[in-house]
Amino acid sequence: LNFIIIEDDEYKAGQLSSFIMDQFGNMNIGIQIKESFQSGMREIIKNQYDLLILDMSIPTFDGASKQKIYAGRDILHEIKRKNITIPTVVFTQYTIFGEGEDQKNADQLDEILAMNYPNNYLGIVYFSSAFLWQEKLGKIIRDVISGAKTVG
Amino acid sequence: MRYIIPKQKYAIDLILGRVNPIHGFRDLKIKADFNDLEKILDYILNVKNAAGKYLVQGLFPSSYSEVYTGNKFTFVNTLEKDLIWNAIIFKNYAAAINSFLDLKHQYENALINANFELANRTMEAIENHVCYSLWSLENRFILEEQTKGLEGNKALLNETNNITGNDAILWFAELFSFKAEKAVSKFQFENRINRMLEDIGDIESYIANKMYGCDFWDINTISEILYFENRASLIDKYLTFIKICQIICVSDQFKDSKILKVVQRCVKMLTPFISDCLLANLAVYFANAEQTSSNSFDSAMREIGHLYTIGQYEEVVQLCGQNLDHHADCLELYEYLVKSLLYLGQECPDNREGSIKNDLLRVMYQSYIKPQDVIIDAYYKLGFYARIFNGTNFGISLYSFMVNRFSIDKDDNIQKMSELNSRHRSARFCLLYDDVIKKHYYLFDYQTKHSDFAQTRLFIHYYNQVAKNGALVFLKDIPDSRLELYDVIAKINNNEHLDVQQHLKKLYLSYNPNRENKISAYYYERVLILLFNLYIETDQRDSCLELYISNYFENEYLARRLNRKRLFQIIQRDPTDGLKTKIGLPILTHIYDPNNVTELFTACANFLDLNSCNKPSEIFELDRFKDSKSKEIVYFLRYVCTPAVMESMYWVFTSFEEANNERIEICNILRKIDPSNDGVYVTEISQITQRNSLAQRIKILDESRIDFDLANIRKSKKELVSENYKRYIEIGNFDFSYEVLDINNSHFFVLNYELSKIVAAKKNQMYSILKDIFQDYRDEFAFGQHGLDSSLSTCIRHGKLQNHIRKVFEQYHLINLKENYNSHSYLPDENIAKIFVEQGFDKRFINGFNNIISNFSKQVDDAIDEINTSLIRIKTEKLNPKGMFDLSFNDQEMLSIFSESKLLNSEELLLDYFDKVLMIRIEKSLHLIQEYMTKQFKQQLVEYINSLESSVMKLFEKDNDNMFFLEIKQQIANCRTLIQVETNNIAKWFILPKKQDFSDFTVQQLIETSVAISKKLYTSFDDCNVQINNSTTCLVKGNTFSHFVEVFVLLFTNAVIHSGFSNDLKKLKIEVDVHENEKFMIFTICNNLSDEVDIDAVKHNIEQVEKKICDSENIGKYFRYEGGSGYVKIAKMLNYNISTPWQMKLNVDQDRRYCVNLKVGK
Repeated sequence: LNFIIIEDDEYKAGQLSSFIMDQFGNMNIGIQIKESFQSGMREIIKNQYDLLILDMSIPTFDGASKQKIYAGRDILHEIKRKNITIPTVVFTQYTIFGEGEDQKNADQLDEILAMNYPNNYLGIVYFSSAFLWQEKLGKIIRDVISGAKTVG
Repeated sequence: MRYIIPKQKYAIDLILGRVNPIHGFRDLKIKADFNDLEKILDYILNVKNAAGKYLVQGLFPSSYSEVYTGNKFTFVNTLEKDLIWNAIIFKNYAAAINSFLDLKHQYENALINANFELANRTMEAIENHVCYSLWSLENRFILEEQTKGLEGNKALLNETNNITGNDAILWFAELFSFKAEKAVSKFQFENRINRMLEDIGDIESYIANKMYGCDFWDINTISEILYFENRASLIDKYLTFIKICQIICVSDQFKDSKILKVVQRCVKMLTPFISDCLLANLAVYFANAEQTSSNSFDSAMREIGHLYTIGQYEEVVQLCGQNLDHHADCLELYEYLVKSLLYLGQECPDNREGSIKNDLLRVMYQSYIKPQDVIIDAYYKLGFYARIFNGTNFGISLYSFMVNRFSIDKDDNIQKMSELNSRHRSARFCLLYDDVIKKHYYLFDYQTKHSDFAQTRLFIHYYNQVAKNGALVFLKDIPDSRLELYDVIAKINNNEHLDVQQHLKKLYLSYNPNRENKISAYYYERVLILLFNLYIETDQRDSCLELYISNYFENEYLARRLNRKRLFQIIQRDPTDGLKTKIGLPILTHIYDPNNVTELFTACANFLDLNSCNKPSEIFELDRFKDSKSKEIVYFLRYVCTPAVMESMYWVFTSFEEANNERIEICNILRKIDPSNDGVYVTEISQITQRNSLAQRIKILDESRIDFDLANIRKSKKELVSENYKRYIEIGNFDFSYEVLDINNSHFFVLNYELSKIVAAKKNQMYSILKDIFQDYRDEFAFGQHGLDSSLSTCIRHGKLQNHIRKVFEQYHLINLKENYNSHSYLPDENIAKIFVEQGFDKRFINGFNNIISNFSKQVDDAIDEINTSLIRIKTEKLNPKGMFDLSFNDQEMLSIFSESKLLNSEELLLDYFDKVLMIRIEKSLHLIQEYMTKQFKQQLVEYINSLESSVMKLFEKDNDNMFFLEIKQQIANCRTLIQVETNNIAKWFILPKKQDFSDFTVQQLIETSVAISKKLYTSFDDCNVQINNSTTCLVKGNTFSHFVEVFVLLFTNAVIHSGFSNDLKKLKIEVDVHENEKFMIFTICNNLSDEVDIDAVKHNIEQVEKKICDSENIGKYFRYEGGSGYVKIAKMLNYNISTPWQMKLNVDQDRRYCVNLKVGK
């Protein structure tokens, strides 16, 4: 199984991959980590993945310090445009995105993503120092692995 | 007159004055039914007892100081009663209202016809014979502005400001004066009024009504407006009352409601007493039947409508002209006149007399044919007149005209309001009814009572078509073109799309949007809208897109009335490949929402993909676009293919620079195919180039933080090294071989064949000399004027590393400032404290939060301090044991150096070898520091942030849905990500200096780069006002660039830290003035100082600093003191790194500005 994490926060990416390896290490899972819209999209086009764990706010290019608030949504949009099927979990530490008129809370975002990308989007998992995220993400991964969670 | 008074206690108490009137009237309004209310108020208003006096207070102000001084009534939110209440008052003062309405008509007619003298006299008559009012105050400002311009307007405002004891009138005067200003644009007006409305509480709706005119208010808003209108004059109340009745009649929310019935009752009550055409319109509306009586103006209007419908345009022009002299406040006259001129192909007459009437005729004429060059002005002019007349029926008709001519969607309610506000009723009055039967009923009634007019027949015919009623109507006198269009519209309403499509297409092609054929241009727009909507209804997306795009480029103001939102939405639902290949789709996407980069990217990417292009500049390789200069191509390249869109093109661009370079290529193409906008593209190219160049310069500076000058290091040690080297060689001339036996022994060297203490001693002496040479050279390399530590101190330790780290937290208010440099206490963030107090948190809680942030601040500062004081240091055998730049060499390493050195037979080779040894060490150290920054230091900061997050969560555990907590949690999360990026970036500073090819630079580039670097260092540097006045043209040598930038960054840093504005950089103003003479560039950098800064202390410091920087011998010594003055560092850089003659003077000028005057040799 091939998983791809698109996440610019090394700490979060580290926590994620450690969790996956701890819990599902015996499942022969390969994890690829990319940190920007650009490198993430190139990797998705190049190789086939069974699960995408996607941060919502990431930079456009690797190493750039400015995050694009909805770059994760842009990735889902581009994946849809390219007719790629890849189960996707949005993994975020924010409850509010954007500013002013463009501001959305996580529930609104969840609704929009579910409506616009029903073929790929599985749900949103909140990362925090508490461990609730592990339970929710673990369930999604188990579903993906067992094929119970079908997409597309 | 005899009054029959109800005998209820509340009525008796009020009439006999046994209760406070405010309570008495409250009870009356709540308890009395409509009949009793009428009886009691009629009595009170006529006998004029205490209650009566209370009720009429402020109803007839005799001066502006008395306006809006009516008594307050308790707000009981019973709209039905309020409406009846007002109607009773109007019935009792019908004579005054009739008098006012008559004079108001005369006044408005005179104003619009530019008969200002008559307008002024009529206004005086209103004020003297009826009353002063908010209406009259507003119109006084309009009259002054129209007669004498802004000067007159402001003179009246000054005069009004002399009124004492009535703040309300001063406030209204200010607002009306602003509203009447001709030069105030729609945007300025709305911006200021909206801002003001945000802060005025309950009275918001009332003021919005006065400023913006009517809106389709809900029941609560109407109640509020009536409540605040209680204090106004009789005529203000009446005008608002009629407007409210109209809104209740047309607004869907009141359909079949009790309130609508109350309005009907009020209208019935007032009609016998008040002679008002608007009241008559309401009465006709409720009766669904025309009145039999009519005046000469009504007859004239019916005749004009008839002549227009049968195409007698010359007569219409003549009659309209005559009637406008006396009825300039009737908008239908303008419409008939303008459209008849269009049919006749005649231009609109010039506005020689400068009247509102002629001005309106001109802009209405333009609104029909939409000439691109003037239509925007016409639109704003209409908006201005709609604004100043928005309290009148004329203003409402004008607004309805604007909606009809400029809006995408037809608004039936606004159309209905326009009919209710018309000064005469025509067959169009049937539009007020939603029900076709009622429309028919009205039309037949109208036809019966007002003779057989063509316009009425046309309407009857149209609704017969819609209702598929085959009844015959005589139509032969109506031109075919007019009938044809009505038939088409009727078929569309009947969903006979297929039948009508061919017909519409034929009509569309037969009309010409060209302004030369005026009526054709008007019809073109009508048919275009119908055809567009038909395509939408029948889901013909390709044809619709094509129609939209071709018209957009023909005349974008025509296309503005096409509903692009609906088109975009139906295309988005299921875009076919056929649509995606069209260049029109990305263009539509941009026109629809230029800020939606995601959709723009998708449309652009689809277009490129399906046309097999990798990037936008390749589209010219497609046959259909070869050599094309079409407006579509220009628009696509200019507006769609922006860097923001192209940076997402991951398949072709891998960096911002590449996307920017493509944009430059596109701009160069645009210069060729759209030469009329050459200047725009040249400016854009220049801006991108400047941005690229600035980014490049900053990158170079980041990569030059580690710096040393080997040539100068060698030069400064040359004499000493030469001398020692000679001694070394002399001893070495003994020329025997040796080998190392015991490094722990003081006698390191022994002969391998002939043991001799003397020889060994010589060898030891030789080693000792070499060691001295090496260590001496190493020390120069490390701490000399051109050595490594100098760059570490200036470019990393002197606030730089600290600011880069702290800035991440400062932007989210997660780190506090120390009380002073040496203190361990931190100052709480005042802004955060204010938020806590506003949210009602107690002192203990606030202290708890401050402690958490202070502890976190200390952890971060200590970590930075450890790096600065111990780690980013050069370690030698005696200095900085924890320093990570390890240039210490133990005996074994020294021996190895000695062993290698013996093979080198010249001083130069020896020093080359030393350089090599030192560079290997530096390289290794840099690698270790990078590792430290990206691992240990990063991890340390992430742990601090995690711990901060836990502490904050614990503090808010009982209040964890508090908005501030959610925000702060988010900010902590942001910081955790950003600090990792920042430490990675900082790690990249630690690289060996590259051989940079510095090009010479201008002073402007130098200052701009320094400003950009300062913004990276200080969160709020963006806020401060930096003014650059540079008259120099000289170029400065490229290899001094980084040092010069350091000088200016230090000067800006001083301004930030010492100006007294560090907490609010918006107040800091830095002025940089640069000029040159033959030998010098002269920089003057001044910044203002806050009132808190002690000028005497500053002057004392200046003396100290000037002493140090003039002490050239000891500059090096002062410079090595960490945390010392930035000026000493500047002096050192000018002396040793830039190596130029210089002079620096510091002073505080008479305007409390701190000024640095720096003269630098060219």
